[in-house]
Amino acid sequence: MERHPHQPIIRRATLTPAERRAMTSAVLARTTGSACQRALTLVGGQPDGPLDPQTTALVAGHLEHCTGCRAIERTLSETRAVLATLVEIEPGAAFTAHVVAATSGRRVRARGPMWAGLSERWAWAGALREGAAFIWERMLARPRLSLELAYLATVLVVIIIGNPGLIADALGARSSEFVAGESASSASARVGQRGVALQGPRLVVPAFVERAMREVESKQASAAKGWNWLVERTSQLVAASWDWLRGLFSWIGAQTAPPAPTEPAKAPVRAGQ
Amino acid sequence: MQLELDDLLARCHAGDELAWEAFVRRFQGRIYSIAYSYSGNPDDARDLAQDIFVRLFSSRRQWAVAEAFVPWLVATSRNLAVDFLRRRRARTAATEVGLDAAAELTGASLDPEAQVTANRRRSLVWQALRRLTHISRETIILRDIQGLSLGEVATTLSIPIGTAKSRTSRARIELAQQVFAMSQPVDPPAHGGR
Repeated sequence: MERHPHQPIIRRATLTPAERRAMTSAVLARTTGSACQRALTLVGGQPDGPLDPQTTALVAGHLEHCTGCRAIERTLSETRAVLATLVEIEPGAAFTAHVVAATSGRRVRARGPMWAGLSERWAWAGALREGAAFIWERMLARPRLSLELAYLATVLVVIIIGNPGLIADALGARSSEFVAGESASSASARVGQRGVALQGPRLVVPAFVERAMREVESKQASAAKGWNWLVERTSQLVAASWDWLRGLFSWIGAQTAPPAPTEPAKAPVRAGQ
Repeated sequence: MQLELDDLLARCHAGDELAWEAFVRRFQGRIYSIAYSYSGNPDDARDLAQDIFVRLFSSRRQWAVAEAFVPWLVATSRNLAVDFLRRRRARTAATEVGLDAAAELTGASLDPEAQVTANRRRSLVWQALRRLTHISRETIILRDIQGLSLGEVATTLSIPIGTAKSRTSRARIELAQQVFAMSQPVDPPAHGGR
């Protein structure tokens, strides 16, 4: 049957569900865009607190017509139920034993901090000690600490005993003397500046080693001289301080001594009285 | 019979070794769960959980009071886990946990068929969780797995509470979309939303 030119295209009073969905999508596409994002945001926030009744109704209306959001909402509900079961996971039978073993070697203090019995005036010292212990523990945990300590120890050794190369040279020269069976000076006088020379069973030492030895010996002599001066000066200071302290104590003793008795001396007892 | 939490904490504080062992037994599941959530690897999780307990033991004089202990424990464990991940990231790339390994982590006592189904769901959720962004994953771990309040999540992550709320909502939807997509490998969802 041919359509009359004035006959409307839509002959039915109501739209089918598919047509309604299509019309809603078309209108939203030309206005605000899809409402799924807003609906899902509200669905995701529902566990943190209930929505007001009007928003709840709007979300329910959206979910009723949007299969995609309905599927996400159902999956979210199931996923949250699974998440709740993940709060604890059994790590295995040996875990407790490992943890207890790892912590049992540490010091267990049963009576509280050491400075607990001290007065409040000295509590800061205890806190300082605790802080130092904490920093030390943190330092021990650093992987490079041993390397840094070795470097520091090397620097200290060099500062204290001087250049270890010279010491080694000196020791080598002395051992060479021992092997040669004669003094290094006479041997070096024989070979001059030509360096080490092996003459049959004799090992001789070059002249520069001898010079290095003399240099080390002179440094040692000056160091010993300085040390002697330091010891002597310290002894003098200690003696002077001791004298001063003794004087101070005697003066304090004189100030705090009880007064002399003021009673007159008794007359000697005569025989026969 | 379990000790009350405040009694247990007081005994641990006093250096009671039995109390410390009981403490480890009580909280090892939760701490291992946090460690596994962040590391994504059972071996790393075990090391990390042990490390967390050793740190807790060293600092037991600074523990929170019983009322606020569990949120404090979760936040402290989270901070140590983040430190651990930062150190590990400097050494090696993160490893992905397999479905089988994730399924082995479950310890519920169900009948075999239900156990299989539950394991499959858990492993699916773990996998989806690993695919989220770091921020979304962390929000889900703290809020929906460990059960912290929004305020506690905000304090732990040093963000405003409104930000914590919006992040949580967004993260839940991202997770649900991932789970949905992974559970339907043949036909992707014909959904216009995110």
